[in-house]
Order: sequence, then C-alpha cells, then structure tokens
Amino acid sequence: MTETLATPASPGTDAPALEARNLTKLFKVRHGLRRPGTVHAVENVSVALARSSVTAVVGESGSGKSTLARMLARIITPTSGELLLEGTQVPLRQRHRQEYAGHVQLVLQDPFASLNPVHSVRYHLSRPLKIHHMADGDMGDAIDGLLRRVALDPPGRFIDKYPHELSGGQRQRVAIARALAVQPDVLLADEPVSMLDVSIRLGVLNLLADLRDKSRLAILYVTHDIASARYLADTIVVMYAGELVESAPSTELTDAPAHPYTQLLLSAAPDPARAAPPSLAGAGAPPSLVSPPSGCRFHPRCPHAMAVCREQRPPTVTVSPGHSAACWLHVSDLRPSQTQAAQTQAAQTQAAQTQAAQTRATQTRPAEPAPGTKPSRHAGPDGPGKPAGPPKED
Amino acid sequence: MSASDVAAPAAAGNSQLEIPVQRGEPVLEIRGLCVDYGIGDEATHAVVDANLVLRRGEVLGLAGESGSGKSTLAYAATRLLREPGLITGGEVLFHSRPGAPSLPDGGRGANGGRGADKHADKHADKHADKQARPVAESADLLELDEPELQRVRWSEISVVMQSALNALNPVISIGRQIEDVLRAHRPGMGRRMREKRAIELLEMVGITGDRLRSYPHELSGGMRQRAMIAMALALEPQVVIMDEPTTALDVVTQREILEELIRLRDDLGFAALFITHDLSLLIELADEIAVMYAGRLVERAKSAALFRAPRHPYTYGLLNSFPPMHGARTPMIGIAGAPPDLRAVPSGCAFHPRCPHALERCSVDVPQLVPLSPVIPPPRGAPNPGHAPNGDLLNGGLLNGAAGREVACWLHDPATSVKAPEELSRPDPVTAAVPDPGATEGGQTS
Repeated sequence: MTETLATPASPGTDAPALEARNLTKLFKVRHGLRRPGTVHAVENVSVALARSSVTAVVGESGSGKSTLARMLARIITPTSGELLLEGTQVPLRQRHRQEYAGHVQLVLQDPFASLNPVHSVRYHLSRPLKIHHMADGDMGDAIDGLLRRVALDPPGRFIDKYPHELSGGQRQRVAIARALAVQPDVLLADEPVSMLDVSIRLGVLNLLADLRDKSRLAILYVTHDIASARYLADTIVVMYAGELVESAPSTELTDAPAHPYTQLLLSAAPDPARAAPPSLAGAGAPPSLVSPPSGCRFHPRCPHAMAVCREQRPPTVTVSPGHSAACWLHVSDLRPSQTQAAQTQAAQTQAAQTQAAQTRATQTRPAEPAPGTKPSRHAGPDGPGKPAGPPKED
Repeated sequence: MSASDVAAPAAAGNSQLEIPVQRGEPVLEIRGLCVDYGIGDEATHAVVDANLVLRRGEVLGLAGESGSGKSTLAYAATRLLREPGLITGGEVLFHSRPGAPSLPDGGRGANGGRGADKHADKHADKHADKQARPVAESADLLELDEPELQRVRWSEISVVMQSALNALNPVISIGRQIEDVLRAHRPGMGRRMREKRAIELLEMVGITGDRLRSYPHELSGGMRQRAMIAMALALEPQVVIMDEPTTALDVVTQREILEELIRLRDDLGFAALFITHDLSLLIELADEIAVMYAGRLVERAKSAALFRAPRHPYTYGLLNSFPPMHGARTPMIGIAGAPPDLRAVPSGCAFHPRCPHALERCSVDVPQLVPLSPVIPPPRGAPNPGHAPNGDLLNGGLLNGAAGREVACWLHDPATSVKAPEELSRPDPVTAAVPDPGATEGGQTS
C-alpha cells in the first residue's frame, strides 16, 4: 500500500525533485442541520516527480487530482503524509512557504482568472522576480528572458500588454513565465490547457515538454484528457475517488491498462481511430467521498469485483517494471505480503489482461475467507443506459 | 392516447403513418444564413453565408473553436438569437414530417389558438390528420411570426443547452419542468397523463421514475443533462439541436450520454445538429461534419472522409491537434497562431495567416464553400495545368468524393496551378457511398 509509485529517476539524480508519501487530505464539511461529515478527498497517495520528466495525473472531476496538486504546492495543508523536496522532508504546515515557492510553482487552469486584469505583463513578471530577488541585473532583461522562454518572442511586443489584449494561449504562457521567474525545480500544472482553444493546446503542451527537456524541470501535469497525458507525460498516474489506482509509463498505461477503472476511462475517451463503438464496462458515476465504498472504491462499478474487493483495500501490485496497479485482480496470492510477486508478462493487451485477471480471480476466490459474502462477482449497480449513479451530495 | 403511442420508439409511431418517413430526407435546410452582431459599419459578421442540411435520422456535427460562430448559427436558425444579434440574410427551411399537424398553414397567426388546440390532440387526431395532410410542408423559419414560431419550437425543433445546471430551473423539480413543456404545448393533456408521460420520458433517458420529484441540485451532472435531453424529446421533435451537451461532463458520463443519444436517434428518427469543439468526438458520433472557422463553413464531409482525408488546411490542423491514443508518440504542432478576433477578421481566407500553404490569392479573395470537382484525372505526367491538384488527388484512381463533400480553399480550386499538398489530397474513403439528395427515395424507411 505504501509503496512509492516512482517515476524513473533521470541519470545523475538520486532523490526525486519532489516526492509525496501517503498524502491524505480530509475536508470537514457541515451542511445546515445535517450531521457534519468528512470528505475523503485524497487518501494515501504517493507520487514522485523526477527531474526532466513529466508525470501526468489523470482522473475525473472529484477524483482529487487538483487537491493533490495543491497539496504539493503547499496551498492546502495535508491531513497526513510526508513531502520531500530533493530528498529533504519539508514541514506540512504553512510556514516558510516563500522559500518552498522558490522551488515549486503552480500554474492554474484558467489564465483568464489567474492574471490580474488591471496589471500588465511586465508587472506580473516583475513581482516574483522582486519578491524572490531573482533579478540581479536589469529587471527588463530578466522579463525579456522569461518571455522568450515561453516563446512570446519578440518580448517587446508583449511586455506592456494587459491580459485582455492577449489570446488565451498567450495568457497561459505569461502564467507559465511567471511560474518560471523564480527558477523552480518543480512545475505543477493543473489542467493548463483545458480552457484553451483546441488548435493552440498543443503549443502549450510542447512548451511544457521543452521546459522538461531544456530546463530539466520536474513537471506534474494534471488533466482529465488521457490522450494529452499520453502525448506529453513520461509517467501517467490514474486517480479514482481520491486514491491512486494505477501508475505506469505513459504508453504502457494506455496500451495495456491493468486496472479496470483505467480500462473504463480509456474505452470512454474519444478516439476517432476506433474501428467499432466501445463497450463500457463499469458505467455509472464516482462514489460520494463523504462515505466512500469499503474496500476498493471502484468495486460498486467494477465488472470484475470479487468478495475481497468489498472488504479490503487493494494493495499496490507491481504488474511489470515501473507499472503498478492497486487492484486485487493482480494479486496472485491474496495475502498482501506477497503481492509484489511478478505478474505474467504475457497479457499485454487489454483484453488478454482482463481475461487473465478474471481467471486469476476465479482461481483465488476459494482461498479468500469471506463468510457470509455473496457470490463474488457482480455487475455494477447500473447497467449501461441505467441511471447515472447516486445523486450528488450537496 | 396509449402509453405506447408516445413512449415507444417512434419507429412504431411512424409506422402508423401512411407515408413513411425516410432517413436521410432533408428536414432543416439552412441557406445562405448571415448573422451580424451590431449594425452598420460597426457590425461583426458572426456567421457568413452558411449552408447546411440536416437529414432525418442523421447527426450533423458542427465543429469549430470558440468564437467561430457555431452557436450563433444554431441560435439564429432556431430564432433564439438575442440582441444585438441580427439575422441579415438567408433562409431556414423546415420540412415538416408528413402528417405532423404543427406547421403554420397560411392563416398566419389567426389560427394560432386553433392550431395549438389541434396540436394538443395530436395523438387523438392522428388518423384524421394523416388523411387531411398527406404531404410534407415547408416553411421558412425566418419568416414566421411569434404564434407560428411557438408551434414549431419545442414541438418540432428543440434545443439541449451546454450547461444543464443553468438551463434547468433550480427551484422546480425536473418532473414539473417536463410537465410544464407538456402543459404549454399540449393543452389538452390531463394532469395524470402529463405525469405519466414525464415518467416515461425520464425512463427513456435512463433515469428512474422516482426521480420525478427531484430538484436539479439533487442530480449528478450527467443526470441533469439526461433530464435536459428528456425534456427536449418530450414532444417528439423532428430536429434536436445540441450545443456542447457533454462538454462539462467527465468522459465516462459523456460516453454514456452519447450512446443514449444514438439509441434515441435510431428509435425516434430525429435529425440532430451536434455542436462541439471536440472534433475527435464528432468523428465517432456524427454522420456528417461541417467545420467552421471565423464565421464561415470551411469544409463539409462525411465524418470518415473528413477524418481520413481532410481537404482544408484548417481541418487538417484541427485533426492534428488531438494526440492519438495509439501508436508511437511523435511531436505534433497543432496550428500556429491563434483564432482571429471576429472584429478584425483577416482579408481573403480568414485562415490564411495561420495556413502553411497560403497562396498569394488567399489573402485577397474569399474562397467559397464549393463541391470538390469530380474530374477524372488525366494520365500521370500529362500536361495538366488546369487540374493539377485534382490530378494528384485522384492518382489512385479514386474519385474526390465530390458528391458528398465541399471545401472552401483555393488549393482545391481547379484554376489554381499550385498542387495541393499530399496531406490534403489523400484518397477519399467514402467516395462511392455518398447518397446524393435526389436519391433518397431509395433509402431505408426508419
């Protein structure tokens, strides 16, 4: 469970630029006369951001991916867990944020909201330079340099513009330039392209790839768009209902997903090259995070759910080197201590993998002492075309 | 009126008509539609000379970036456009289904009340109607006055908005809101009947009937959108316009709702206009796709043809803005530059400043959306000054797909001497199978 879903560290670096271990965030909520509750927004998520690499966090809305990014930026204080910057533990509390901000920067989704409409580009970029004492020489030169780094060239054309005079893509580039002003090691990008026009998204993604390669930045790319994650990221981690369910090198994750939720996500994603309409296995909606399902949080929707899935949290299993999934289907022996056992490499396609998993599940079922449980496999509560799921908690 | 009469897939409903409704038959024709925001020299041309045909039982996708005028086009065509929007030209012909009693028939306005009553008893009067009106009628929606529009709106043409949370009234239960539609357009329907019908509609879109008394905030985003769809289909319209209906939803919910829509389309046989910026989604969903840029339609083709063999550089760029889900990862560039501001649209072809193949002519003359010429190519190597691009397009012995597709680009103009680049001249995969408008008589009955 506590295994770190590590990204491959780049040569010459031991510790990842930023590492989170078992981060958990519980939000207390109270609604009028209702009983107070706790939202389990993020639970036990471990992720490591290596230098010169992009790690994508993929998930639906409410899966906790933005909360994770904000915890990594220390805007939200985690309930528990550890945060390590270059291998050194940082306190979780809000103190000394400025120094931390010199290493880790966050870029937000909406550049229309994250830039102040009454200030020029020059002002936006000079603020962090001043506050972090980054401009030793000429402030103008430093700003020009930043604008060039985000491909707003020539800088003179942009430096005195106000946000409303820039296009969405240019605004997002200014927001990225502002994050780069402090020369951070880690860039956290929360849905950086989802508000942009389709034709200019790739430009911003390519800029992030460029910063990874040339500035050796460790980048966290939070997105709901699995195709763009595959395009940009070296590693993709998938979140569901506040938990990390799968982590793998990006092409491996999309070509051979191990977790049923990842498989569902991939089958639902638009794909013009698809020959036949996909069949959704596990339709429905994510659960309430106030009272998440017991055991594996995906079990009410999972087409392969077993008795054990309802009772115990699945361990994180290494499916192949660098590829791990939190799913009982990949546990060859149901004792969690032996879950690291290597899985067969034969099942590389999604279909084959699912089938193999089912077979394994069937074989292991009798070993599971689950008195009083119902037959171990059941369909999700909602077949396709049935209600979209439980009403939203409000 | 029996339950099966309304709820059951209209395949059953249609079969009761003596004149079968045919899939592929035009139901809404938009011709030369122009929309401005503002008046005179200050006016911004949001839609310029748009021509589109919606066919029964088919989904027409309208793709474009924000500000390309795709929503404006849809709102103008349904007369929902608000000030300062102004329709400056064109016509929107609605061809009603034979037997549908809802079209205004000459006595403009005067029989509005009568008509509404008659409408109310649509199902009761079905047999009388179909004898009285055996042929389809047509009307220009832009010419109708308010009472006439009232009879067409929602009954025959309905709209599903992008944000269900904003489109639904938060203080009225979804059941009530559906019943309101019925009360307004089917005055003869009793209270119990309306409730029964509301439950049928909710169940049709996959919401259980016990949700009837739920308020919008008690439903998930997907369920709210389903409720919107149920409401849009309440009166069995012939045309459903969907403006980014799934954009705010997660991919799994989006996929479920799209599956539902396709099923309903097959059952009920309505024509759908599906507006979205997500071209990769449209290719899977739509039968035909029109691409819009800076207020003009730049390409129209069957979705497979558009995906495999785009002809307009903008379509090609847009397709290349969606990273693939399979295969090797290769660097992609999308489209350079940014979409233009409609207040300052570039001269000539609005795309020319971003186009990698722009010719001198592109910055001067506006290319019109014209059918690709189906010329047979001369032998390879033969002198071919007039048909150079097509000669190259057709060198596999394939037709250009001309019957089914149109493009607004000088690269494909027969008079242009420059050869169209390879990526814009791939062989068309659906050349042969394009039905032309005159051939629908042979089509399948839905």
